[in-house]
Amino acid sequence: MKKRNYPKLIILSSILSGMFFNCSSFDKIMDTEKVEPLQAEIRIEIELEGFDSPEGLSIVLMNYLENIRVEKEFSGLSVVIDSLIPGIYTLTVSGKTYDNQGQLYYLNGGLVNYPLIKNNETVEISISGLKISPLVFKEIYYAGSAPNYFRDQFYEIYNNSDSILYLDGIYFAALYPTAATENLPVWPESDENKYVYTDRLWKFPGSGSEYPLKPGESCVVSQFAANHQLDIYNPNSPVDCSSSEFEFNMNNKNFPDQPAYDMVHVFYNGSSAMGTVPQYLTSVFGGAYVIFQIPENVPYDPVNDKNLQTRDLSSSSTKVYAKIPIRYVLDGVEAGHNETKVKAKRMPVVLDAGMTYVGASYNSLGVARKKIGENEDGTPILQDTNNSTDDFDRGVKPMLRRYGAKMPSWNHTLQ
Amino acid sequence: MKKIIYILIIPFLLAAFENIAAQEMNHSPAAVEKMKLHRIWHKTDNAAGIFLDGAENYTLLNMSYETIDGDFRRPQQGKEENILKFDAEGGVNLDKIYLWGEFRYSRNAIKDANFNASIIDPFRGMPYYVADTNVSNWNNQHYELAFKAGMPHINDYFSLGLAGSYKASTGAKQRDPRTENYLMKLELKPSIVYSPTPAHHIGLNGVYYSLKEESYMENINTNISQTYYELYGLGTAVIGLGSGRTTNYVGNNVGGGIQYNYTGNVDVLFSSDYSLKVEEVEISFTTPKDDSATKQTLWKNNLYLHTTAKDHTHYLNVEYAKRHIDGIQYITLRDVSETYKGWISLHKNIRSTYKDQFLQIGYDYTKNAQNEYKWLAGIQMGIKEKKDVYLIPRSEKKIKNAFGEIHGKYNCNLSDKLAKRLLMGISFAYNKNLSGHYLYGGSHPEYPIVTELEQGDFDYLSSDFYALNVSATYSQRIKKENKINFFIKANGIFAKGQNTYFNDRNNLLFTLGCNF
Repeated sequence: MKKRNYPKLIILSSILSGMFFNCSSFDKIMDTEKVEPLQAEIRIEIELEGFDSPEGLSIVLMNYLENIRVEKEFSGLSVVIDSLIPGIYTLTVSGKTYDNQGQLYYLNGGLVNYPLIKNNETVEISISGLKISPLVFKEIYYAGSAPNYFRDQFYEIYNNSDSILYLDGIYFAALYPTAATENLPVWPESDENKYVYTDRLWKFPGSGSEYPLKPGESCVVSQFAANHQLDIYNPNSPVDCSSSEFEFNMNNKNFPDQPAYDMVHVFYNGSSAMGTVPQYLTSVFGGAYVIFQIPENVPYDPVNDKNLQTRDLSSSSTKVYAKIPIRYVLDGVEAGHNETKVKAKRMPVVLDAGMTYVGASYNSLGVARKKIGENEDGTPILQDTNNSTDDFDRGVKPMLRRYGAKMPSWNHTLQ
Repeated sequence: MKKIIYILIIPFLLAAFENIAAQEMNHSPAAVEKMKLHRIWHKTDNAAGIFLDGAENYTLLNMSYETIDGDFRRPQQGKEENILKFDAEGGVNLDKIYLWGEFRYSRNAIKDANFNASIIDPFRGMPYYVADTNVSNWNNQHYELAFKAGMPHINDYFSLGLAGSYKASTGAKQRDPRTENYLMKLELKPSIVYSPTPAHHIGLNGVYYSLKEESYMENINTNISQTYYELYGLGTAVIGLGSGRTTNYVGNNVGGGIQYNYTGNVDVLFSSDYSLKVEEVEISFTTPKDDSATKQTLWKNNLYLHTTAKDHTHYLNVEYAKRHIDGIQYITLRDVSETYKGWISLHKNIRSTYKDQFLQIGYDYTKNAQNEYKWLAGIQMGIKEKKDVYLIPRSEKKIKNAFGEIHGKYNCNLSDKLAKRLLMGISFAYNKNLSGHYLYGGSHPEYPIVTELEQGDFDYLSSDFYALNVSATYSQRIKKENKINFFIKANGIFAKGQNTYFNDRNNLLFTLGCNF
């Protein structure tokens, strides 16, 4: 009897080994084919009336993960692109073109994170007119300085037009999620992609005409409007923000209120109260920043109007976010860790088709909008094609009022 | 899982300690070496055939310390390594079954390794991991238990066998971005031998193993974000900034082997093994994302031949192996709809292929003295070929090397009384590169992954080099009536690269052990 047990034991063990065998992983992998280049047809539909010809429009396909850029001009309402590697692409159609009346328009449209994986696929893109903003982000310094100082963040906003603009009541926000991530939140489908979302909302003070910005003037909004190069802060900081026009004052006794005007706090987690966070810190990896202006006749109260609030539906968190209507956004700039984070965009193409970056945190570097010309008074004309990848110089040493942008007369240092 | 480990441990313990009380043969180092040269079935995956090798009772125990130093290395190897090892091995006849068991433990302190931030062994055929440029130390530990059980003659023609092993490794990178890794591999190999006549034996075996490695990356200094690169093969990489990622590797391997053995004046064994392995790479445990996978086929063929005359033995072995790996990348998109489903895998393609071929022919001659050899001389030569391709955009790494080695050992009989022996060995190996190139056609050719990791790896693998190996082992019994052979061994290797990129690499190994 004992002799016969050994073979049985071995056979039993062999059967046991078969039990560990996991077929599903083989099924999943075995039929995988070699990569082949594919072809795609891009069709555009111009939503504005009066455009018969797509002349002047071009499409850029960017696969940021693999650093592939394909550009082609439209000669009709569709274009065929071949030799594409399967992947996730951002498709941006843009260009200046004339309507039937001979008026020049800047048209654009696009798709973010669109998977091009099937050969001979047809992709349709709606094109609308771009509202060219006279007010733009000119320079943004978000990365902080070594070793880990982040209070020197600032945002410079510039009047890129030839007329006086008023900052009064214009909103400022950094969109949620605060840092670029592929783990994007889920927003209500009923919003129909008409909004972007923020956890905290600010606005410029003033009742309508208190803070004018003349052509060629800029205003600097600092997290903390002090000279950061002082020994009590961080001598490694590249900036002295004490001449800033505005600051985000969070009533932190250790970093007290500075002479700069305070931005008005509007919204945080469903309330107008600031909460307990001791500073307004946007991500040192780069945020997605917007300024927007709500027309006077349009009600906008995200604290009291629950229709302008939402939760992140992918999370069980009860935290509430404010909705920002995309159509009222004046300018949007998205910044991320590096070029590959464009795959994790929070901002729709219509606001910013690209992403800017400085490649590291606490490296004392910022991003500055490119200068493409000069006004008669020597102030700059800045590039604005709604693509921060192209519009911004990356990794520059931060500087307030670069290119000779002027300080508004109401700056506290001039009083 | 614990039950499986116990099943693996018990045969090993039986095999190792049964012999302490019952041994008569002199197991000097030369005798053990000669015994292993003769055991041709033991070199296959077929445990049912091990009794055909001669079911000898023996136990080997040793501890060793190894130190490796020098810049003639692959970029991911440490500039310096210190390894502490404990090995135990034994075979025992237990009732009607022959049991063989092995336990190995090693603790590796690797210093100044580069371009690896997330995997214990970057050379195990997995191209998808995270690399960084912070030269760092690694502390790794490896445990391995293995057994073979052969049950001869369950009837007039058939024998059954089962082999198994369990391997566990831990690894920890010591500098940000750092990682803590856990690897487990469980392998089972059932087998059968059919013997139509006493001289002819046909074997068949199956192989299954399951592999899992988990990598948890983090920064201890959370104030400083680190630059890292997610590797996709041959220099293709995606740059990241932060603390890295959590990666889960899950692999399954199935295969089988067939053997034919003739025993007579000449012992011949031909073995052919084929296996198929898939290994999937997932990022994150909380919201898993399919990142990549590999599909590997491995075909190994071996021919062993030995013939013994009155006082000498000829050994011939021929080995041919071919490995093909398809590197598969996923295209994924995170579901941002209200019916949120996490990461959705939309598409996958083979984006890269890795082919390795290896042909080696070896011949050894021993002048025998009882169960030992007086001296041994041998020669080996072969060809190694690597063809790695990233398909679109195309990159290539192709290398073809020829190598040869001559070696000799002399077993000096200092005294028969206590079986005092001094076993001295020397070998000289030379590697000649026949052809090779590394061409990178992807994006970001300026990344250090291209300019330093892949180019440096190519420079090493395509380098001509020579290596000189010298060893000396002194052994004796403690008492005449005590059969335990104690030994002390020193082994030194000096390898010198023959190009301007590298200098040399030294390896010193000291071993203390006993055989009985």
